[in-house]
Amino acid sequence: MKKNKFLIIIPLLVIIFSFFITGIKNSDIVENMEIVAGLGSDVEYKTPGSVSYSIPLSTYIFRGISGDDENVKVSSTVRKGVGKTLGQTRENRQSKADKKTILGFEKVYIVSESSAAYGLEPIVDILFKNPQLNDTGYFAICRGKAEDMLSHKVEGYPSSSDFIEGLLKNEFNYSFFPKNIKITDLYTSLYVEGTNPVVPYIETNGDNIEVSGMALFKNGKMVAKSNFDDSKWLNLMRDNKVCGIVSLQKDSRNYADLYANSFRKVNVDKIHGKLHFTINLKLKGSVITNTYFKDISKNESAKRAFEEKIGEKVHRNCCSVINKMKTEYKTDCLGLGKYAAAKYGRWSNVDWDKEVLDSSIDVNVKVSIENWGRGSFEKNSREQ
Amino acid sequence: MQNSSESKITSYQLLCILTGTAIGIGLMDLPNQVTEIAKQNGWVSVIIGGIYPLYIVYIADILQNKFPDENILQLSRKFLGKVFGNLLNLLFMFNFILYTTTVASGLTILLSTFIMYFMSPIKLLVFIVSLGAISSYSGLRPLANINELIFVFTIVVALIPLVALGRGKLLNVLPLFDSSVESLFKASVESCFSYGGIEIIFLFYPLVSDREKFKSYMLKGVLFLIILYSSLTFLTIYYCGIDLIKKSFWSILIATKSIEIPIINNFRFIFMFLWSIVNFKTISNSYFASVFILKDMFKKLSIKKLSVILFPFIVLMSSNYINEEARRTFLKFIVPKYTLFNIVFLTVICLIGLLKKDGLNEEK
Repeated sequence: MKKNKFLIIIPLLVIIFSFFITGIKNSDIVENMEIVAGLGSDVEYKTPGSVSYSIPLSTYIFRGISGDDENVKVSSTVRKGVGKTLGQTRENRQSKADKKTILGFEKVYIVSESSAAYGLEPIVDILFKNPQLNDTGYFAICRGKAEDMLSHKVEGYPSSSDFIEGLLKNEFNYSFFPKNIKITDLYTSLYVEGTNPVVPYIETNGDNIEVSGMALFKNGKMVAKSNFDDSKWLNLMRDNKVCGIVSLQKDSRNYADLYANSFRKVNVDKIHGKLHFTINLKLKGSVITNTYFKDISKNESAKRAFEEKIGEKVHRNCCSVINKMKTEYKTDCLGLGKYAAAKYGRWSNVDWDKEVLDSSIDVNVKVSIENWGRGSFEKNSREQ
Repeated sequence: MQNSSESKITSYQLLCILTGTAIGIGLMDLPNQVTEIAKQNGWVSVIIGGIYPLYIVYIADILQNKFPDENILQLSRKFLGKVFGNLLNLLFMFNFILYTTTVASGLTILLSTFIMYFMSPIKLLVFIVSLGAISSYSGLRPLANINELIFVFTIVVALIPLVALGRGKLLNVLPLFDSSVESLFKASVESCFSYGGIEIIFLFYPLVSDREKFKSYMLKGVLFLIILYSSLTFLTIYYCGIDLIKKSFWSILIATKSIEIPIINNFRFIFMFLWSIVNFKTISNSYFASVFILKDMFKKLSIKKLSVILFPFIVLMSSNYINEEARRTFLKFIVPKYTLFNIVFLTVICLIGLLKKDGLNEEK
């Protein structure tokens, strides 16, 4: 009886196993695959209306040093595919590559400025549709071609993508840079009512790659780029809980720096049928250096004067950025529209971009110093 | 085999079966369905939709008090005559066939989209349905044990999207209650498919060993469902906003995909693994319920035989809507009608039961 059971079960198992194992698509050995470290997007204008797409992929190459398989050297190369549609670029790329590329480990997505100006829709659509993609990769716009950015050699790194990932990951420590700059955060802000994506802008400077500002979008198209200093204040107003340095300077010897954490609150109401926004900023921070003001750690009124001066400076800069937004960028890059949409109702066919640009925006800044460090080398007041 | 059908289960196990049958693939696109109509207040609609399961439990409690030893199938035959009663039972059975096939095909689509793209969907479907058939083959007691175990899994899976709490914006769920009451109720009808499946308690309440706890456990189960569904919907809206929900087919997945864990490069596989376990149990439960009703009609055949016989039919039916578009159109068409049928059928049985004074004593 027991023997019979085995006689049935074993062939049954073989049949079941072969049923599932046969005809498996896309299964390949590791040696035949290429891991993608970074993905880029370029466009080339053929005629003013039509473009050809080019998608460079930065892929790793693992090669044993002088035939030794244990000491593997990792380097990278860029494989480019071009085509009239984004799908065709895959065909074109495969016709030049010796291996199959697998997605899912991308560290960065780099879109060139011209591609972003043409519109993010095509590239984001193909990225969003693909379920294998890594959603926690960083997203950035670059000057020039994405291909050049990806093939740029950075010393000590197998590929520039690894460097750019670290660059974007740690930028939030200073200059009020936002923390959420992954591709998921682009999904949550692109074509979303009352907000426009603001994306880090990187460029090469000599041998270095650096963040040089923010790319500003309107209706999914890049319309402007803010420089590094403006981006600082723009990000401060756009995001909650960011940190950066505010400095007051008299000359190159006398200055004071405050490392501040920000808290932001936005209120919106309507005055005479027009929107009115109030951005309340609260900066809390520590004085990291001060060779400018006397006695601010001892004297209450001096401290208050210092705080007021910092606040004034932040206010002045913020107002100039708001002015620039209204006259130069002409897009709601602060994402104020979403506050209005959250108060006055969604999906009601209101052009929040226009409403925000027509609105009046107030900025209130409050600064408080929490920490003075362990001491001070400022000159004593008795020397005066 | 007779033992397995006669064996008793506890109220807690029935709670697990109740939640286990309801929580399925429908949850994945629940935010899509409700936000389409009720916008950012979709989660309120999900709570309102909870009236349906509460009502079902209320009826079940009445019937259980009055006729503790007869399930809905026997009652419908008793009240409505053998032919008409059996016909309605058959219709009631198609409820569970519907759940089995749509969840199986839905899970197949989900898995073949996200992780099992190397396998042909139909093979995956055969495998998924066969798991349902095997657990149904083994009878009620093992099924109850499976449900008890996976209930814990479900809680773990439900906790994962909580990470979105730290990343979302309260702004996304504002303004509160600006949608009209009408649209809120309209959207709550859409959430019925995700609550569907709890009708299974009408089949098993005579088998519960601790009857005095039945009502409280069932209410707890339904409450768990309502809280789980509404909080997940709320979290999804809170994290993505209604504009992104519209763009994604399985919006709940967006929040979970953004999770970053050191070492693990892609959290998707872990979540999908847990999620398919949760769904296998849903399929098993509905499969067993269908077999259970068939067994009630064809007394000669055993549950084991029926489980095997039903297998090719289920595979065939599921493969009909193995693309998402066809599946959703079909569901949109059939679910409101079936929900209405369930309400009418169960209410009628309950009313007749109430009108028959002292149904218990009459029998004796």
